[in-house]
Amino acid sequence: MKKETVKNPYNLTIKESREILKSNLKEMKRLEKLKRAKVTPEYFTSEMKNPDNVLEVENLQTYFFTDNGVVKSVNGISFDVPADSIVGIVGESGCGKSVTSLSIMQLVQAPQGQVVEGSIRFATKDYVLDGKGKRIRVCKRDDNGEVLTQTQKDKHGNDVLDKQGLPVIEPVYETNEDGLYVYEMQDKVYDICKMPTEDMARVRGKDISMIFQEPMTSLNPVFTVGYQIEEVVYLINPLATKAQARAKAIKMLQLVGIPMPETIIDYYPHQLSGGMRQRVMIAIALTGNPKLIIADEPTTALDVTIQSQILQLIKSVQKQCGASVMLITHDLGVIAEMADYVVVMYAGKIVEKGTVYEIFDNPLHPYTKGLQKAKPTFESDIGADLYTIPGSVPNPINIPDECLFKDRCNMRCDKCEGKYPEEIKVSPTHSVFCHRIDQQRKK
Amino acid sequence: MKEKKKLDNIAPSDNLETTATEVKSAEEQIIETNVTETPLIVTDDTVTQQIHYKQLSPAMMVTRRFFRSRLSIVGLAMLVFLFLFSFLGPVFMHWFGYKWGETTTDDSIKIVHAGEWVEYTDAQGNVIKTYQYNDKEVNFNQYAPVSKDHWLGTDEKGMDVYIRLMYGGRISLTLGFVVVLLETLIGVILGGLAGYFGGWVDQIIMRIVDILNCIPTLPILLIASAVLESWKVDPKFNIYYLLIILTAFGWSGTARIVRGQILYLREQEYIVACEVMGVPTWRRIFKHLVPNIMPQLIVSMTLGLGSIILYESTLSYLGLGVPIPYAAWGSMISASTDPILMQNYPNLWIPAGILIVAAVLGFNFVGDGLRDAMDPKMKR
Repeated sequence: MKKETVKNPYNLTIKESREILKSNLKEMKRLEKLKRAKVTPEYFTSEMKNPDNVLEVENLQTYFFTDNGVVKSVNGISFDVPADSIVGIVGESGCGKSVTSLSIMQLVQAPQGQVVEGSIRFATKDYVLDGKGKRIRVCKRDDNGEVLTQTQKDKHGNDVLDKQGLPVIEPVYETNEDGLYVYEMQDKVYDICKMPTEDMARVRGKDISMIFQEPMTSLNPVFTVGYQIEEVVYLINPLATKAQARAKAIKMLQLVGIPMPETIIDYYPHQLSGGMRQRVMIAIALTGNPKLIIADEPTTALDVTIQSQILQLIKSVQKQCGASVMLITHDLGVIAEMADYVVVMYAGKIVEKGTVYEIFDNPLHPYTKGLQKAKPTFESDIGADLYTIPGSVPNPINIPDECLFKDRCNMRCDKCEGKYPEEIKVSPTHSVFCHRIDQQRKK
Repeated sequence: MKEKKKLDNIAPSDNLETTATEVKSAEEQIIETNVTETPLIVTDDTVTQQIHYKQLSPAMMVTRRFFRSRLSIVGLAMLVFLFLFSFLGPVFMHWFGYKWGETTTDDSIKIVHAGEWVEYTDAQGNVIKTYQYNDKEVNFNQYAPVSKDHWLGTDEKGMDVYIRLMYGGRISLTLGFVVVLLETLIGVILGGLAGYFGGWVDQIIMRIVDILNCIPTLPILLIASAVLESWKVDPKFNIYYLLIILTAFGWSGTARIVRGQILYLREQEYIVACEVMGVPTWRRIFKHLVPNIMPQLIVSMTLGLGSIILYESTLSYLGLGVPIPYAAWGSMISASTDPILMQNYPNLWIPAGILIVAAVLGFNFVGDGLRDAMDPKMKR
């Protein structure tokens, strides 16, 4: 007697899963090899399309090769981060915001997660290296352009003598306002997608830094706050003395508005509140004087009063340091308050992007409209239900190349069943991806 | 608003001119008062919070919690006593005129009463059994009883048991510390690498650990002792071989603890944050991750110390330890395996046994105390 087996049509058969495994392994091996490759800096040096931008993301595709199939978490997104501005990235949970930021930092969970295609061009300042691979310090020059020199002194202020008994002469090195040595830098544009992991040290910390969601866990519990800031100082200025590093740490703590930084510097993270810890995190992120700060939901874990303080702080330090901020959040209120430019993401794709005024005054994509409607306001009736967008983000496994919002969309039309809509530029900064807008405009 | 209403009420009452000026001054006043009453615009720069309290530092907190438990105090006292006893004891005893050293023998002549049953047959053919005393002179004071000269008597070679206990403690305790430090070092390095990198590094290291855990230690040690004997290794150096063997087998446990902890800790956000800030990998493992597992390591180290001392005594008992002229607690016990000696001279082995028990108990008590003190979840 043959036993009847009921097959669940939603389960993968062994054959299918084996095929997935095979192709995944192949792809993962290929991409991992690229990451480990030894290349010259020329290979990943690139050019900016617009020199005013700090970061240009073009057609970025970050996939996760899971056993159930390829998850296209970020599926061909392009956006720019102009210098000295705040770019907000909004979207529901699971629409690829965080993966975008992790791709920029090359922190995607390897080997499953891989940046498959695209380019992330980042305008950075890299050290000029001498023949031995060491950084070159800037020398002080007099008016004629001659290098100033001095005799080398030891700890006690005595001259250091060489074998012949003559004093050793060294150039006078330039220092910045903190007394730290200045290194020779050159402007470079690096394509992060092409960079092997080894070379990421060129940009991490110094040029891109990150503020995390959870201030409770993003500081090492066994070190004092000061130690953790000083460590970054040493990474950037290896010749800094202890006193200089400490002074810099106190300065950074002062910058982020921590009262009595001389006392707090010796505190352990568990002695600080969540808001204070987030301030310390911001201080650490700012220590390297980065050009881009990625803030991945920096206020989600904080209560509302602290939230606004932290946001104000980020905004003010952004202005002071002239850095750009990539603010990732699902809170439209935060975006309205902070951002200059907004990128709205849905299921790994950008649905609309533009300046904050364009997005809030003239939202075109039905998803953006829905998000704004779903935000509680003072004008809404008391007791009335809050608007929600029906449904949820589709599971991004093996997604087809079509508009993914159409099932939840209240402006659906026949054309929506076709391919993914082209980018429609409403204004130089404002663009939207929707068939419906195209039709409206044609009329 | 209320005040303005009041003003309106006042205004029409009297002479227009005067009231106008009055109103004006009143308005000014109100404006002034309003200015003072409006809350200050509080920004981060204006807030000058003073921290007017002091907190216990984490190290202080741990000591406070440690001394709260009576058992850990007892353990600590035991250990302190043992260390003083074995490291400072001989010095003190010399001061007080106790002249024996670790290997000095008491050379005073002793008459050993020994005898045997002798059978012989007389002329009648009767078998007569007699006990024959044959006292002999030994040129060292063997098996001396407990006395003023020898507080715990002497052993077979005429060496003072009391002093040898002290010197034996030195070996046992130092060996324990060295082995535990070495195995912790190896365990932290290999476990840290395995936990942080994962993949094939993890596979190789953890499979070695599995293999080491599969091998029964005692038979291996017995084989090792046989091998050492056949190599004709100077018994003086036995102790170093012992140290190497114990370390080689001991690090696997530490490596497992470290790997497990690091596997969990490396996913923590502060390690990702470290990576973002460009902290080099070796620094991330050994500077940021390892201090986080220090509590577990300290506990496993203290508990390990006890077991190493036990191992040492076991091995000395089995003959793979400190050779006879030198003292170790284990070898001192093994010197009195003869049942007759055991019965008649308890002063040879009971004190050493007590000290071993005390050392192991002390380390375990301290280890337990430290574990409780360093557990961050304990809120008492």
